[in-house]
Amino acid sequence: MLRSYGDVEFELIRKPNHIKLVTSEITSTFPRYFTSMLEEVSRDGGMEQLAQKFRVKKAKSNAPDSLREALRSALKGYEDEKAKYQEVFNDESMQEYREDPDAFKGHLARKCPVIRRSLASQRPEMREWQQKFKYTPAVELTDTFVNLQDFAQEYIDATDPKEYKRFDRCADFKVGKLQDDEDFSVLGVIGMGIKSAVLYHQDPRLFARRGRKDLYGFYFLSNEKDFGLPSGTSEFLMINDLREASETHNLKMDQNYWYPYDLFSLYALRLYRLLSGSCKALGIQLDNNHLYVYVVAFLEGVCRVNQDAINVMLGGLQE
Amino acid sequence: MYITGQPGNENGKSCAHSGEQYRLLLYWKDRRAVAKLIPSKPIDFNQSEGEVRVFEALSTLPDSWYVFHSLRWLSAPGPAAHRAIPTGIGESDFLLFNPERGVVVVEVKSGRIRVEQRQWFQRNRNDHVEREIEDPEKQASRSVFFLKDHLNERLTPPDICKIFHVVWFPSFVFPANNLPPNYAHEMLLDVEALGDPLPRIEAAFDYWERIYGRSHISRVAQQKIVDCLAPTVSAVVSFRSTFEAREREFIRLTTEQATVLDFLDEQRIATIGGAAGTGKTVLAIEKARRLSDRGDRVLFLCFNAALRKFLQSHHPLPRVAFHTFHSLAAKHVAQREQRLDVLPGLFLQLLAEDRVNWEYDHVIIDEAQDFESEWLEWLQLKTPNHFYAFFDRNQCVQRERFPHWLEVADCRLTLSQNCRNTLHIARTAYRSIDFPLAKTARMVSGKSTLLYCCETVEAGQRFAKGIVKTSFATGVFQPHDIAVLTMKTMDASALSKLQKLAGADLAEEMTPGHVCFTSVRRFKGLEAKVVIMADVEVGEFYQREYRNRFYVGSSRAMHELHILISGCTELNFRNAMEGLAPERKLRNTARSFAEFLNAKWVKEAEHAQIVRGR
Repeated sequence: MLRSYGDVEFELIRKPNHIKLVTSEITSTFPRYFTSMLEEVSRDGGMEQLAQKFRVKKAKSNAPDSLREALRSALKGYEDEKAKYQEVFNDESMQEYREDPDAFKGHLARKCPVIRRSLASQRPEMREWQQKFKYTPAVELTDTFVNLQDFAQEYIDATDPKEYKRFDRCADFKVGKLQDDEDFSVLGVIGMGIKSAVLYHQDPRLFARRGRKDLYGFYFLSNEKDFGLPSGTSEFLMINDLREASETHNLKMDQNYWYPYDLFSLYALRLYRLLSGSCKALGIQLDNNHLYVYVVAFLEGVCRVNQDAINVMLGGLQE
Repeated sequence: MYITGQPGNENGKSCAHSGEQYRLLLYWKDRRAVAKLIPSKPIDFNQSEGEVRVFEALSTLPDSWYVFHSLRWLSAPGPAAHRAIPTGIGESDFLLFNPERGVVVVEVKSGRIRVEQRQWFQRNRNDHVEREIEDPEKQASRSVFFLKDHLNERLTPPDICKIFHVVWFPSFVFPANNLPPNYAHEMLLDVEALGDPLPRIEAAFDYWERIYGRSHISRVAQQKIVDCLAPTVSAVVSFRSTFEAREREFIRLTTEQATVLDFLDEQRIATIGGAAGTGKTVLAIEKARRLSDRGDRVLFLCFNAALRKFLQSHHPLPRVAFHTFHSLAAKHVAQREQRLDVLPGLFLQLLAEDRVNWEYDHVIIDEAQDFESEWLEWLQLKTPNHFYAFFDRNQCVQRERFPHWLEVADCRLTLSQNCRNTLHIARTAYRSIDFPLAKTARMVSGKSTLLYCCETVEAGQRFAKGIVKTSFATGVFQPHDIAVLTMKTMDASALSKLQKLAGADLAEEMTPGHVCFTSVRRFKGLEAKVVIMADVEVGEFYQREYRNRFYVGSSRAMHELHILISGCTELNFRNAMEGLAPERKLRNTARSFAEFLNAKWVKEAEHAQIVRGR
């Protein structure tokens, strides 16, 4: 998308026909990436390269077993990360933070992985965000995350995970207010990327992560197509054509920070179904309690395949 | 008689070897419809290979059998003189229970066994030293005697469980002749029984039943026997123990607060401020006690008649007179002038004209925020020695203005450590007036504050009854530990028609054996272990005065706080949150309202289940 096109394209990407085209493209591209994921996990952590280098014969690895192992490893990675989020966002801590917002802001900066990484980022475009975070009143941050936790608990209580798995329309997700309501956002500081990371680490059955790599993943899964959008660009990326990147005078592509969370959730859930079906064919049953962990692992795999392209888009800077 | 046997199998029959219990476990897991093994996993058999073999054999019994292994028992001394067993601890190697046959105790003896002239010997597998052992039959029969009493006293006739015993020598074939007189072939199992133990066990039952008769075990009795032999006990921390721990902690904190008193010795006039629960009244009483111990006369003043009465009855101190300002005035003003609204004025007139016989050396005032500034000024002028005023600015619910005298006092001390409420309750109370809670790390933890949505009078009454009933059920709280405080007047309360709560009589004052039911205003300065706040209106939280009153009421609770609340509409929650957190951008939902007050909603169905004793 191009910034100069305003909201027009955000309306177009919600049209049923458009969603159908994107889904169809993702479905057709999926097997290619699934195969490359299988190849990647079967390489057995670089053993193949070593075997070639030393000209020794390596025992053929079993793809389903390797995939099973890779998924197990993804789950473990998720659980490790979740523990870090839990340290900040548990009920008792949140009750204490209400009384001491400054302490909350400090803990958020030091302990919450997504915030900590953003604060430590060297990317020039993050400098503005880092400044804004610094000057955001602690009480506003506290209230935003109190509200987010409140929403998450309400959503978890009201949503049957079995029913959730059958959601097939944007409207089914009922997460619109998370993005639109100012109760849940701090302009230019706490957007959907951060919020979805927090929610995803709270309940990966119901909350998809909508981070940078996840959007890039869909960009490649949808074959970088524009599906007839007037700007001729992919909806998963945002090109800020209103401002040139200062050093290179080029326009920079980045994730679409404003991508609708319900629409993203729809594609992510559909992707899970594809993933689940393919794994089942290999005799692997995915654990529904970690639904979006598999999606994230897969999208990260898609990004790894396209790492060079991502580097070019970001002007060579990556964390 | 001489019997001997070798470890291992001399007859070429298969049997377990090496005692690898892990392997056994796998073996046992793979089998279907086998006996119920209790415990379900093999445990340490004291390195007895024989017991491991028997365990493996018994695990093949059909699923109608229960196999208890390494069952230890304790025989306590008792009046049962007929018992054939001494008191003490014993152990059965195995105990088999079949609901149709009864119980058989199995004593296992493996390795090389020798019996000579009624003496039994066993050679140790490790050091090969032969040692005398107890007759295995005698050992088994001791368990039988114990279990006979232990099990059957739990059964109701006609149920009866017969308990027999067998001895199993898993290492050799027992000779067919020359048995000791206390043995029969039917009660002996040997290495041959390892392959298929069921017929031999059935034969043992047949033998004993011919002598002692059959068991009669109903399904209920069956469950009782299993529960008796392997009870399921879930150890939970008792309510009483957590309650007592909290009480101890409250006392410790209060003691700590008392050190402030040493500082007061140096101050003739002082004001001591502190939020609810910071121990103001406790300190005031302690100061009064110290002064009276010196032989001085102390006037202890408060605003609330109920508090005065409580202090008089609970802290009778020599030379300390407890009064409300009005009762003090009434004491000095002529009898015909007893109208509350004119009494203070008349009394001050007398003070000004020096016509009062002032008999006190010191004055201590609790709830000073409820006094007029003028009253405080005159009282201080009349007091020759110490004059201390304890107050909480946020509890100023009797008048609109905070007394000027307190604002300008020279020596002002502040108490910040809450030592009455649990952390949960203090958060609820303090947040309602947006007052910061200090030193939370040192506070006592406890149960969450609970909110009950009561849209009808009946619902409120149901909840109140249920809360009181479950409080009694804990066995910790007495009726006088519970206070029901209405935010309205007594007559306007939804609970006004109630005479009793869960069988306990209601009283307007704290009376032994009664649940106190009064208004928040009247209960000011007092405290109760369980407080039920009644007639709370969500929409009213918009008003500062209402929030202050709520703070006063909720901060009376020491251990539990229950809030019966009505007007649970979206609009009311929005208004309430605007009042509670005007500068914040918190959501306006029922959930965020509860979270803000650090409370949890209780649904009616859920509550009904709790009351029924889920």
